[in-house]
Amino acid sequence: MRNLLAFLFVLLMGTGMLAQNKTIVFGYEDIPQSLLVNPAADMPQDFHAGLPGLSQVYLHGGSSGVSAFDIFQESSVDINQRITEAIAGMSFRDFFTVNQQLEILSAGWRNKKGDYWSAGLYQELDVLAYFPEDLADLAWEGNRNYIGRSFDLGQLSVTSEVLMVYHVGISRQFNKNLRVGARAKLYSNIAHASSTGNQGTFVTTETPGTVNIYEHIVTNADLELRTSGIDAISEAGSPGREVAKRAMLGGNLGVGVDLGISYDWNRNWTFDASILDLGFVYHSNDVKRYTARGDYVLNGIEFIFPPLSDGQRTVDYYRRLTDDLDEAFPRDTLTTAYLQMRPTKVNAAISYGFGTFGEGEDCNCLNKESTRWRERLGLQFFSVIRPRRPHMALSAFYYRRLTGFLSAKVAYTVDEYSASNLGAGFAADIGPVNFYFTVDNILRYGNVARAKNVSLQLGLNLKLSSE
Amino acid sequence: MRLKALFLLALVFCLSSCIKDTDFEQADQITLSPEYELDLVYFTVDTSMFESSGELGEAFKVTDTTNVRFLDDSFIQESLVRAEVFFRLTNSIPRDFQLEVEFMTLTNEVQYQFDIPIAAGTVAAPVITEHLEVFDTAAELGPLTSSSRVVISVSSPETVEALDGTLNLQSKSAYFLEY
Repeated sequence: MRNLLAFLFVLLMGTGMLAQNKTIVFGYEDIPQSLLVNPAADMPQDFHAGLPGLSQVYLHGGSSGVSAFDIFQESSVDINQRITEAIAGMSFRDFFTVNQQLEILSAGWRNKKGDYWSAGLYQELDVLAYFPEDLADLAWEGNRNYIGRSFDLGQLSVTSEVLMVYHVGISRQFNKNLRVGARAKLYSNIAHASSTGNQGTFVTTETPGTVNIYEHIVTNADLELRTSGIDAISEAGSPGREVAKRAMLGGNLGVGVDLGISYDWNRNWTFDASILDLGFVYHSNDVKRYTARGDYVLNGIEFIFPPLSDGQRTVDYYRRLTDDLDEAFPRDTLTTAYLQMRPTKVNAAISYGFGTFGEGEDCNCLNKESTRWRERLGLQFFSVIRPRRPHMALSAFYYRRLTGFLSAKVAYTVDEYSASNLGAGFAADIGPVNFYFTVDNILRYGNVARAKNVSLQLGLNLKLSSE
Repeated sequence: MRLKALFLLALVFCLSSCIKDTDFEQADQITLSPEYELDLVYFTVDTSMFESSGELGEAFKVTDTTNVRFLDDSFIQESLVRAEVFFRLTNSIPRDFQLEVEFMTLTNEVQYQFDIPIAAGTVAAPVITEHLEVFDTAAELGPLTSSSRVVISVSSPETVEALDGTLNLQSKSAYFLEY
């Protein structure tokens, strides 16, 4: 238990805010993977190919309420006291999140019509767990000091999935000002587990006039854990082979779409927006749905002192109680299919481009055919649909092409929990080789344990142009 | 060459990040110590339910028992650091009684036993007797967590026939865990 707790805290350090908020990569068109954040991104090159397995490595971990430092700091205060304070300081609105993406293959090319096509596949892990405040209090402190308090079972809300995403997209310049993009996605889900939309309450009451001192009451409980793929992998003779099979369209499939636009209001002002993972996965293979529903009032065991003859068995009150519990609170394991919506993301940005690339040049941008300015200043918005509510963030960013081969972008992000998230990234084109690196929460980088939100993305690509 | 320099820069950046002033070894010290309260048994008896007992029929007694299977669970045996059992008896029968509580194994070996004297009351003025039994030493907790059955008896040395009133018992238990 201790090790599990420690593992969870280390794994989920931070407020994290927003998994998959690729603040730096959005609109950073020197990075081919910006197409995955906005399919309407305007690629400067005519061809790109990712280095297999290394074109996009993305990691994000966060927690909205507590950092690893809050718990594991070197201190004279007992760690259990710090955990008690951390639990007291968090609410059911807080959450822990982990997101990881690994691009396996990717490539893009411009066709004769000038459209930029791109395709590839990447693996993704996404975990989100809301902090079940009431259940944490019940587990950490018990019910003894909370007689009369109603514990909300609906605060249990967890979702996790591992999947492979196959995709193909197009980015097309419609007219001088408007560029649109779309990406079709085929999801090959490897494993999924989620428990959301739960409800019910548990309360221990002490009311005069009842048959016993307390009543333990479960009201309107409706709990469900939905899983797919987990049994198949854990029971497979070769789990690795089973994972590979399910990654290659042998598990549960789904479809989705990314849509994006880029609109130039005028020569300097640009509006970019995208909606990602508008789709679902249909789980019908290796499905297990564990459900528990009902109402129950426990008063204890009533002795009835039955008159017994010699050798007659006494009443098995305990068995009766567990049977009553089973009857009032039926638990089932179902194998019926279910639909899982993917966490849809929305990105939007408005930016102002300016600056000439070189002194004395007539052109005030890098390419007269487009508005590829040397510098860009703007605001970005991000939102991801999550089980309880959308999670949102707002960023201010500054992009600058530093030299002919090197560019950089910094962003300052404010979200519901943190107002000091400074992120930065750079992209370099060394000959045909493109390398990029982005990182979030630089202000905490000196001591990552203090960060409530850490993310990192890097990759290597090959970029070619016909000119 | 430039690419190598950039790789180096990124690598240095990654490696320069660090985790300071923290001690993850403290995970070994994490201890959950919840305290749970749970109803136990309850009953109401009247004098018609008492039967004579003993070889000479000199005592009048009611007895009942229930399994409490979770008590000797290995998790409870390892985690229980204190337990309390609380009884509240409301007696409106004009007779003193003795409540006997025995914790037993499934094979009826008594592990822990205690008695509670119950004062006589009347229908007009019931008498409430409360008793808290605390288990907080190894010598007390060991027998408790070796038990999986509770036997409760109410007895009177004199006949209770033809007496009015009832004897009501309510009870609860508290479990203080550390794990």
